[in-house]
Amino acid sequence: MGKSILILHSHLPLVRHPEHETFLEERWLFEAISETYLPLLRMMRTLEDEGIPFPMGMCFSPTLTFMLQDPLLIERYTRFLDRNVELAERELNRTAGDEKFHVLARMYHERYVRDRDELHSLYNGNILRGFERLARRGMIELMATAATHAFLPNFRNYPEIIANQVELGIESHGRDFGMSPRGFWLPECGYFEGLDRIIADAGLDYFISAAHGVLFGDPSPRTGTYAPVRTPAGVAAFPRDVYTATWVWSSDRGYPADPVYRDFYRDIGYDLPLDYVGPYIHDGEVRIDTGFKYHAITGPTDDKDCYDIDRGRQRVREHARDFFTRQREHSARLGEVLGVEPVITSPFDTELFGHWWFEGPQWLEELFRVAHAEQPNFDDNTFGMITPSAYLQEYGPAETVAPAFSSWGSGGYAEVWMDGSNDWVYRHIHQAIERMAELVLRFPDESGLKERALNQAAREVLLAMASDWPFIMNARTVVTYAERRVKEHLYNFTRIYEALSQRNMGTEWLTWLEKKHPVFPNLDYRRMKLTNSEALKGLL
Amino acid sequence: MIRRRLEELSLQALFTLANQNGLELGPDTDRFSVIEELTELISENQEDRERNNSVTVRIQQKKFALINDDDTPLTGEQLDRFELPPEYETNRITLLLRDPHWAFTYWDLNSGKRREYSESTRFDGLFLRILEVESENEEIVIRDSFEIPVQLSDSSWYIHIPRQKTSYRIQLVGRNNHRRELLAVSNRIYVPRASLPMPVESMTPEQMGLYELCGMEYLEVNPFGSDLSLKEQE
Repeated sequence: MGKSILILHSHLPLVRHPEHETFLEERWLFEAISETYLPLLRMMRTLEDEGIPFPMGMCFSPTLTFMLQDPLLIERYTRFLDRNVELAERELNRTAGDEKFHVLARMYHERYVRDRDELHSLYNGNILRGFERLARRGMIELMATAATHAFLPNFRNYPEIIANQVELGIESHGRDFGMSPRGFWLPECGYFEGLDRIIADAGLDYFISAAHGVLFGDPSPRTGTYAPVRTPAGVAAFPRDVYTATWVWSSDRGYPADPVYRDFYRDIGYDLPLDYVGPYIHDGEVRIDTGFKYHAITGPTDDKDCYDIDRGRQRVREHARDFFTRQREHSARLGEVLGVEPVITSPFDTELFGHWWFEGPQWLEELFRVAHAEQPNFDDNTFGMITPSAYLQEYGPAETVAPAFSSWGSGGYAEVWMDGSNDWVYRHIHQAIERMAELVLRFPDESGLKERALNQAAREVLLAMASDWPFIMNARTVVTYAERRVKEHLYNFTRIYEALSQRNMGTEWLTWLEKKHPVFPNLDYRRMKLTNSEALKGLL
Repeated sequence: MIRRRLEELSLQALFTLANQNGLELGPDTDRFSVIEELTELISENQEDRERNNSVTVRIQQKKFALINDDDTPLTGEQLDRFELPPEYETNRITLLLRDPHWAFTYWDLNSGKRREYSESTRFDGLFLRILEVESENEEIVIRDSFEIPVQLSDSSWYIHIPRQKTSYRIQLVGRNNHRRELLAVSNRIYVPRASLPMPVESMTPEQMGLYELCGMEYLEVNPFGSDLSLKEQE
């Protein structure tokens, strides 16, 4: 009757600014913890207590896991929670005369107080322990991803550096969770011909591919996008299902767009007078989302209804049952056509759940409840949820296919990360990669200060490669920040490169930089060598 | 934030910005109206971009949605003074595949060669020579080629790829003193198929049924390989 695989990919770029007392973009992390990661943990604990399985794949990028364990950022997150609890208390007073709004103010107050309590008492300041515990109990499967979430096809001229991104991602996963991953999340589902060899050589069993990456592969599989395929390197590729995913993803027709659900855009940061929200927005005058949102989507109108928690909860149940039922029906149709056990692979950005789609974690909870009710015996042959590894163990890949270059971004390839707004970055990042390789050749066995400088140079190159910076430039949102970040990492790298050439490395600046960007503390610069790249042939 | 930024600009700068964005404003248009028009245009453009993005990209944008525009504080005087070089002191060309229809290339010319060309009275231009090559060979076996003239001031270009399931390289060529001078050769890229392997009319009913179940209409690409992507680019 088929299976359904749910995969949640969690990622944020390294955003850490000790040089500033507060830094706006650090809120990306704080909002994600409060709106997504903690609610998901809560949801999973509830299901666990009730004996309801919730098999799914989850992935946390190394930059995100670093930030989730960083004392500076967690201290700042605690301050963020304190401020939000304070604002929630003021909101309780402000809304005291209006029960409909007051209920919501109470909900926000309870949530932020609970976040603060759980962060410290339940997880001792490190929420990754919550996910690790669930993975150790076999409730979820944790996957690895690339070190700095680079869009790998744009660096395909440097296979050794891509292998480094993969291996560092796996090592980071081992350090963070104390276990080896079997699966790998390709950032943005970015695949190019030959990447499967790097994945296989790293000891991984599978990755997730864009749908057309497999459909347009050689040969196009007889199972379409409904079974993993074996690549020529022997690793499995699970193609993403686009058919059922649109029920969730579509911003106008998907479940999150239901008029009953909470509106993402209406926020008191924009709605209330500056003298009231001033202490809780940026620099006291720049309006931002505070997280306090009182309205339902309602429809294409500015006259929004007040959000009704109970109606939202009821609709979540309906949508979870609808998703499960429709997936099961779809699977039954597929079973008739394919002749093999179909599997529907549905990867999502974790931050969709809770951050943008407020009811997302509840929807997941209800989905697993429905699945359990419909499939009470987990191992029987009815349609139900499964992890990627469990599926592979039971059924294996269907046939051998060489996947094609692809991504899940707009246009299906590299357009999001390579257009007029961001293509300039590649000249400089590629140059930095080659100069880094040159440094490895020139300084093959350094120690002391020079080794520290070389390791930091390698860190800066890796950080410049993050897919987020060209993504943001393309999206035209916080463009100045993204441009400055690329420039900053290249500046730091160049300064070290030139200092090593002139033998005048400044200890004070290097120490400051190591403290500012301390990700991958065990990084060995010697791994940044290039031996087979075409580019290096020219260099040599 | 957009409005605040605009309000900081001089009237002349506002008119220049309006002109660059194709806004036709009379010379007597007052400052307030120029800012209004520009704000509206910028937010319309933003909405268009969002509409054209795939759902995965739109969701991802929400992660980075704090404010509509940024006002990033500076992080240090030395960094602010640091400028990325427009080019590096070498002759080389790099080819990157953006999608099966378009590639991006960037190149560097060392300052000596640049000076030689710019001072030469017999310099006849710089060309990108796009070579369709044998896929599997290390040596360049050329099947077909075409040229694109570029300016000495150019350093990058988007190239329409005429054929899929084949490989390409680019040569950077200068013409000077009636001679063709090969300045650099790029890496090789392989351009994959941009569609399903068989045309729709050759599909069996079973295949058609399967592809329908796969949700072809929701793919980010046209599975039947029309030239839609090319038209969009043009």
